[in-house]
Amino acid sequence: MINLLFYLAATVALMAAILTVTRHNAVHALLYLIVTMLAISLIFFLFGAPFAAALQIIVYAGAIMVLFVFVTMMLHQGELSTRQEAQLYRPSQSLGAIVLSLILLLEVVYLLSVPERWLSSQQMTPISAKQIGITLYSSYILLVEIAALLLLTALIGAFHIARRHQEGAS
Amino acid sequence: MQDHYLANLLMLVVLLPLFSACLLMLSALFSVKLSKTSVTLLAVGCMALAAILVLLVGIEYSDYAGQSFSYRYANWIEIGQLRLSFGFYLDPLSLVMIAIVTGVGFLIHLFSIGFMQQDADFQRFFIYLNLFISAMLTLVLADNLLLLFLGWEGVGLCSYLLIGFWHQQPANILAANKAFIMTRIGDAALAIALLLLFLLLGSLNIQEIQLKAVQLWPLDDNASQYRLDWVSICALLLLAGAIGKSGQFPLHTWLPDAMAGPTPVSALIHAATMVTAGVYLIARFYQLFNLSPLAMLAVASIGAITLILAATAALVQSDLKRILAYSTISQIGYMFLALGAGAYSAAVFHLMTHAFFKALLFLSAGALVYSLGHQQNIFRMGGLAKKTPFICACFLAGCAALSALPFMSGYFSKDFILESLLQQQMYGFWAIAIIGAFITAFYSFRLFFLIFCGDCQLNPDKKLPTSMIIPLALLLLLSVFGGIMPAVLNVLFEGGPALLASVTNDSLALHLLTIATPISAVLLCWLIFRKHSFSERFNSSLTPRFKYLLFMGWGIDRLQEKIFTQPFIRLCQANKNDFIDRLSQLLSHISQYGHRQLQRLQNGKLRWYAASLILSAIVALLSIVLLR
Amino acid sequence: MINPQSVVLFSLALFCIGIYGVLVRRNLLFILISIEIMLNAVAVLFIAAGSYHDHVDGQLMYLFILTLAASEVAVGLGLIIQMYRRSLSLDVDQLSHLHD
Repeated sequence: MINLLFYLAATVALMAAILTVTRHNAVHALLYLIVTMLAISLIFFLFGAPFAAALQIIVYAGAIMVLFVFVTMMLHQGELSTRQEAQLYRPSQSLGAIVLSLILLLEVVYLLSVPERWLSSQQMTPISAKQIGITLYSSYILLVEIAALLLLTALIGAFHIARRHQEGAS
Repeated sequence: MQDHYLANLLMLVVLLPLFSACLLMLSALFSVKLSKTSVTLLAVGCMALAAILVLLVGIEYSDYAGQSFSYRYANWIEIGQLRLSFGFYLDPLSLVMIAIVTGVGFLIHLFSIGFMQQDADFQRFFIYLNLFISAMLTLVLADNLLLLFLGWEGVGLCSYLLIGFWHQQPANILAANKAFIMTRIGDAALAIALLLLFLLLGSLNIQEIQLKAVQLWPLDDNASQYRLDWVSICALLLLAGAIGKSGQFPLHTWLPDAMAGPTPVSALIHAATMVTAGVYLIARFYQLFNLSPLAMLAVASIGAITLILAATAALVQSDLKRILAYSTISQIGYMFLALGAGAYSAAVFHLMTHAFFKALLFLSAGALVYSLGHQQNIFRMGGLAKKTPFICACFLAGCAALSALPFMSGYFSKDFILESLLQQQMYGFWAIAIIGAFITAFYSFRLFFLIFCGDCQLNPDKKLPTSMIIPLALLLLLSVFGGIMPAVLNVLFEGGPALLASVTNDSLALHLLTIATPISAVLLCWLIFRKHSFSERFNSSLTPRFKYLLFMGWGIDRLQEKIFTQPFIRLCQANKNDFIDRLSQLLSHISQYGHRQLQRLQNGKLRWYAASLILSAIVALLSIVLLR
Repeated sequence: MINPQSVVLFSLALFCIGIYGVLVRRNLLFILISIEIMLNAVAVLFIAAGSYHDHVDGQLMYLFILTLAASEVAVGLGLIIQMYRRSLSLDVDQLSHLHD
């Protein structure tokens, strides 16, 4: 049964990914990307990594996607973007995404409805967030600091790069 | 300790001329002005010292009673089985050779002092002469083929420098180039022979080569004789080298042209040293040649052809030195004939007497030319017997020896050659040799009569200096009496027909024939001369075309030009665009093309870079998977 | 138990789709999105491996990938904004100033 669920989620993810890279409209592509992320998150859940699944939704589908969407919105300014607004809101354009998301939703609903014992019988012992935290802050402490440095660098870099230059070309 | 003494003597003999040459060269290089007297003292003194040392070597060597003496001074090259040394090998053959080279060389040096006195390049001349002698001595004494080759090339180089000594005239340079290139053909053959012998026998030591060759290719009597086996190929290649150096058919055409150099040079090249190198080479490898009947036949045939060809060409020449050059070619033909008959002793004997009388002839020709103000056409001369009696006597002795008149030195040596030809039952060659002897006597006395008899036309304007007279007198004595002691040469080679031993066996008639031939030729010549039938022009002759053909040396020059030079030039013209160079340019074209193709990858397109990145990742993965 | 082979195949397929996007799209934004897909494909592999071996490290790696993705997106989007400001285009082929 869990195999079927995996195949379903995988199919959704692959289709969404294909649709992502083939869209003409950036916003549509982002929409499908979010579906991909969701599907992957579900797969994580199936692998017994609820913490990763949660992070996938929070960070990817939440933070990073929002960043993307913001940028896309910023780039589409003026008349061009208002003309596109009409198309952007058309429900038929997002039909694929809706269908794919629905499949995922159904999966999640199914997963939530089955008893917990069934899950544990699949030899997938879920790894809790606590375990991850202990390992992270004991043996991988150096990596954490490097990651912190990376994030800080990215922060400063992104700020610097995206800043509007006063003396830049008009 | 005796050995060291002898070895040091030999070393000194070779190094003395080289030392003098180097010293003179250095002084010229650092523009230290040396007076002519000091140059003379150094160059000629070293040669005199070398000649005296050779005498000492001869005395010392007499203890060995004909056994060979070899000494390794130093290692030269040692790679794998190739072991080369600076080593000298002394046996009666090389002793005779160094005696001739240093003795006659010294006399020529002495003569050159007077002859070159007025020349601006006095010092340069003596540098070349000394270098030449040194190279020749190295050639003769070398115990391995590569050292021999070194001397061989040194001789070639020096002959080039000396023939083109008066380089202000383009004709002289052309003659020098011709000599150099023609001998180079032979040298290439010699180099191939050298490599081939090393490949087949694994050694370059001359004695070792011959020992191994005898073991490896024993001569069987019953098998078909004239086979082209490896030993024949080696021997023929050596023969080709000898032909180039010794001016034999078909590579002889450089020799008459080589008269462009100063006359002492001609004497040195043609009498004492260079042209005898080929004879020496074959004599040195006599064991190898003995193994190949085919090569022996080739040696004899080439000798016979050259003999007749050059003698007939000498009949009609008008230039004094050209006649002597052709006579040299034909006399060396005699030596080759003797070598081909296996009579090595006779060949070397003739080489020795020839060195004497030909040096005498050249030097007296030089003295004549010197006193007449560089007039070389014999038809302009005449009746000089009374005005220059000494030169006349020298010429008479030289021509008599050349014609092999009885009891001159040339008579003995030529007689031995004829004897040995008969002994080997080579009657055809014997007949050719007799005809050659007749022609030789005829042209040499034609030369003599035209210069010294008849009406007087020219007056000598210079007196001969003493430094010219002494060598001429010495050579005169040697030419007359040099053939009396041939028994010394008997020990030269084991195996070959011994000298003198067989004389008694033959009939008196044959002896009379060999004596009568040159005498009758001289008489015939005198008769024709009395009738004033010799002429420089071609129309008065019965067969003018034939005479012209002879004058051009049978047109072999023309033939060679037609066969080799002109097709080569045509080939060069056809290859103006240099298609071989194209091939090598193709390489650069390919790399340029590749460069341009690779440059296209460097297009600044991000996606292109990403694609190449992925592609190489795929290739790397595939190679890991597939090559595991 | 989910078949490991199918997980690897799925990850590979996702990765290839990402590559396809990187190679085919000329819009810088889409290239960035495709890179995100590729990162996710790798993340799936990590999680699956960690799960099969019953090990925490797979998820830890996922965490670092997440960090990396966040940094990369931040910098990349900053670059996109700057590029758009300068040339009013996101076509990478037009932005090929690297050569000559």
